[in-house]
Amino acid sequence: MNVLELKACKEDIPTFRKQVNDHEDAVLALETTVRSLLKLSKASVELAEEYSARQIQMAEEMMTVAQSQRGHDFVVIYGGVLARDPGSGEESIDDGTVNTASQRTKEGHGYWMHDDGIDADMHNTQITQMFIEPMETFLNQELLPTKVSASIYKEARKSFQKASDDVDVALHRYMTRRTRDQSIPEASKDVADARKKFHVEYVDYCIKLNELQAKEKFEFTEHIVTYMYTLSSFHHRGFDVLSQVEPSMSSITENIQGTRSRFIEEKPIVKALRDETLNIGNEMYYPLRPFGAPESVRTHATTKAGYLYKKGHQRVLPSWNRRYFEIEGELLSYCTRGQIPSKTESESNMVINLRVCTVKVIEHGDRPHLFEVISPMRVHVLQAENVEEMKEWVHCLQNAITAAHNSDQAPEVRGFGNNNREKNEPLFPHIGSPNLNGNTDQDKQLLLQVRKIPGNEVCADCKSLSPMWASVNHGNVLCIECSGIHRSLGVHVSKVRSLNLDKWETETVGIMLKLGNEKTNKIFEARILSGDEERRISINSDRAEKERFIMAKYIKKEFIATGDDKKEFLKRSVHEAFWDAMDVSDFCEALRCLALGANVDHRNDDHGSMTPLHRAIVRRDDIAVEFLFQWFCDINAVDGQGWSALHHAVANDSPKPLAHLIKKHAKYDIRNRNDQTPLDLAKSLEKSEALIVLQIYQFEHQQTEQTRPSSAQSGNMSNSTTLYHAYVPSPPPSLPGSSSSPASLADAAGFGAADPASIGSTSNGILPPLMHSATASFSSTNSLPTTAMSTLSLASSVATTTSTTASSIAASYMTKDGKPNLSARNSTGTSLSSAFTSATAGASATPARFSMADSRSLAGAMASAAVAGGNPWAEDLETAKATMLQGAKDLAQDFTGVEATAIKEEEETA
Amino acid sequence: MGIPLSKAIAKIFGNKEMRILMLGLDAAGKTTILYKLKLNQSVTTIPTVGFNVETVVYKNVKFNVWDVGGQDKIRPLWRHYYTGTQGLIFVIDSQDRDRIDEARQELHRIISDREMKDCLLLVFANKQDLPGAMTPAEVTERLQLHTMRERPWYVHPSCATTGEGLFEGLNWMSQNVKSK
Repeated sequence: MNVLELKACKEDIPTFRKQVNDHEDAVLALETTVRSLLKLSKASVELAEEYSARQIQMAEEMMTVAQSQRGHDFVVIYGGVLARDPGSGEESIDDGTVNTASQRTKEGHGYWMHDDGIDADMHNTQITQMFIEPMETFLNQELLPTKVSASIYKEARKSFQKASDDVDVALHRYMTRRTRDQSIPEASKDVADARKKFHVEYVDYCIKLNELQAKEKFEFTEHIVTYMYTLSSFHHRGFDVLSQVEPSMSSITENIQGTRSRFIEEKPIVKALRDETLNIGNEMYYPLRPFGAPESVRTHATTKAGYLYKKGHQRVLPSWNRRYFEIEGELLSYCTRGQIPSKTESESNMVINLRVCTVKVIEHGDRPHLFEVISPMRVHVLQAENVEEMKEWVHCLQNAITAAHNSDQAPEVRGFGNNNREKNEPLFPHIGSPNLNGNTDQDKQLLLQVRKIPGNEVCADCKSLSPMWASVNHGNVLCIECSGIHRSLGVHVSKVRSLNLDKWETETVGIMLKLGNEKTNKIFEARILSGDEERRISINSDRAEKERFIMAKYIKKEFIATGDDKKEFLKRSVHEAFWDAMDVSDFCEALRCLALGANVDHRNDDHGSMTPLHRAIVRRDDIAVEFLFQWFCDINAVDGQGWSALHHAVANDSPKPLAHLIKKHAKYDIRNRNDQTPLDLAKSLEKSEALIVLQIYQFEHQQTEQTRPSSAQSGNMSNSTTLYHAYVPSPPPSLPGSSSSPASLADAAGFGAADPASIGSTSNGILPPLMHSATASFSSTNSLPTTAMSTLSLASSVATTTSTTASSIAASYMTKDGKPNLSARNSTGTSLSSAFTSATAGASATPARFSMADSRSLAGAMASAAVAGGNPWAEDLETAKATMLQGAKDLAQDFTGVEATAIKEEEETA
Repeated sequence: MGIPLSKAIAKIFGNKEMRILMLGLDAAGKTTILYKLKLNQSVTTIPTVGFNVETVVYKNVKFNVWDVGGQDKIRPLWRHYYTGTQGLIFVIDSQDRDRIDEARQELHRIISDREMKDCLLLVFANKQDLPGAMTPAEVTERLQLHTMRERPWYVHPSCATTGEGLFEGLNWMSQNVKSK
């Protein structure tokens, strides 16, 4: 449309008028267009906002899926919804199994999607900012003033129209004047005025129209172009984003291929499995297997899991619940179907420690296939679906229990009884001490060696595999069943120990290592091995048969070769042969001789009438000593010089035999030809450690003799009416200390038992092992004097370690100088002197003197000695300190008196 | 309410129930005693790894007897069976003089436990049929039972294989149990 020629306004020709009208129409059309454009764009922005919101949602959803898919093993397919989405126009398929990289890809994709959504959002804002707003301004400021806004546009138009009309009216008036009308010039002036006004208005109006026309050309179009640019940049960004995602898209595509082919491959397998399931006979589903079905009971397994019915603990109408049971190690746990079983005992009471349980089949229960797991606290009655299941459960549980007992772990079971107690105090003070609780590593190694000895791979009697029991005196290993028979014979025939459930002394293991099944069977099954005797048993023999065989073998000794005995023992008797064998530690020959009836205490006249025991002590062969003990040698036998085994042990510095002899209560008052008791011998030979041990031993014995009830009380034992050997307490207990002090006694006992070990670490003489064995044997006697005695021994040993063997010094007072150097003792200071006191007491006082000192003062001596030695245990005794110190003083006074008499006596004898 | 009811019934009919723990060194004859009491026949046993538990009814008293293995390494498990024990049967191999001191230590360790402070102590001097078996008096002395003033105890000779002395022991238990 042409621009209105402003000059034409003056003429106002019809064509121009037409042009002006056209322009007016165009303005109206433009307005309508802009309005509809605005309306549409607003609507589209609204939709776009919703769209991008949806897309953000979708992106988030995909990210959630991507995250939850991590580690899961199945294929996820995002449907075709996404295919139409310009922002994510690919199928997003991921195979969780492939790798985490693809996971990351997908996740990344999710992020891109998210970005896209945000982009779209931005795009919308841009459109709003760049297009809609200017358009609105355009509409309001440009178009409306010209037309719609009545005041301005209409006025312009009106004034234009009015001016136009005015011109017409003025002209008409002018033209209708008479020729000579006076008013012609006036009218002409009016016309001119009107025309002038009209012209101005007309020009203004045209300019306005022209402006609009021009603005439509650049301003309006400019907005449109901006819009196009916005669109274009948005799509460009989308393209950029997607091209970054492209590599991962292609890798995903590869995965899709792999997954698809795998799916196709698996299809027939799955189908086959399904067909198999279909073809399984109905009988497999019977809980009760049909008669004649192959019995497949695993008898050696230790693990099992499955559903069982469990009886509730209600007494009345107990409920039965199906629970999932699992044996794992030494624990049996159970849970309901929805639960995850907790594996630690402390977490729940639905875990049972099998170590303290037993399992039993219930024969005549009210339901079929019942068995029970009995723990100390509770009986769990369980029901299996069928006999086979029940048998398998029982076998597995039994195996697990056995395995738990045989495992090397410390036998600590928690979750029973009072938990507080377990935290506060060890129930058994000896736990943790390797000598008393388990076997030391060294001994364990030795026991492993025992199992490797030729012949020890099978039971000595029935030849069943991996025997775990041993007859210590025979030095052979046995299966559990044969060990049961051995036990029934009594310890005078066979001494049975478990290789893994019992603790072993190093010497006892030594016997096992010296012998073994092969060697012992050469003796006890000689006739079977030579073919003279057909009888033998196998693992399948019944119990009675095994019993007969074992009795024939070890008691009647029917299979021992006796043919050449007469000749063999013509030159020397079987007893001499035994003595000689023991002299060279040939246990095999010695055992043969014993089987042939050798006297274990045979005195060899060529060797000063020594018994094998004396000889073994002299030779310091601890294993031989142990072997002789096992065969019940006479520990009090004396040789030609009147020496007992105890004398020899003292003279030879043999701590182990000495400790064992004391443990076996060897007589301490046997006097040799020189009228010396072992104690005297120790004094004369200056064996200070042996001296202390013997002192303690003697004292302990005298104490027990004192506490022994008078003979008048010991009536007829089998007469239960006299009830000598029974006691029913009558409240309140009359003896002070006997009932009120178990705790303090236990403390003191623990004190006595624990400390020699610590002393052992500081002193390196033979004293520690001696002290240990001595105190250990006394520690739990629970009589006050004994406790005091054992603590006194501790006091002596403390003194020994702190003050350069006080006991030997003390001994030297008495034996060498003949009188005690009291001033020397006084000069050593108060605390140390009390230690000396006790040490001197331990070294020189006879038991008779000891009995003079009452137990209170002994306890005092103990306490003060403990203080002197810087013993940490002394702190525990803090409360009793005052009385004890008093007791120590008492003892010192008593002792001075006693000593004086002792010196007198000795001087007299000298 | 199940427990009070059954207790009430037990009172009316004079039924007592006793939880008995039977301990002792390995090979003392615990399992043989248990099954002699239960089945009245001498069964052949193997070493008990774990424990056996049986209910023996004698003179209207239901004895729940727990027989726990006595090997060195499983002795620490004994204490798990202490809770609720009203009577302790401690079985001694009267022939095994070498280990009587060990038995004494174990016995004193058991009865010094808090949970066992109220329980009766019955000692079976078992294996009286074997040569050189210690007499009940000797067992009493070697176990130092005379120092024990805080609980009723009773030593009875027994022979698990023949069953001699076993029910006499249970009889003493049932007579001395505190009615709860």
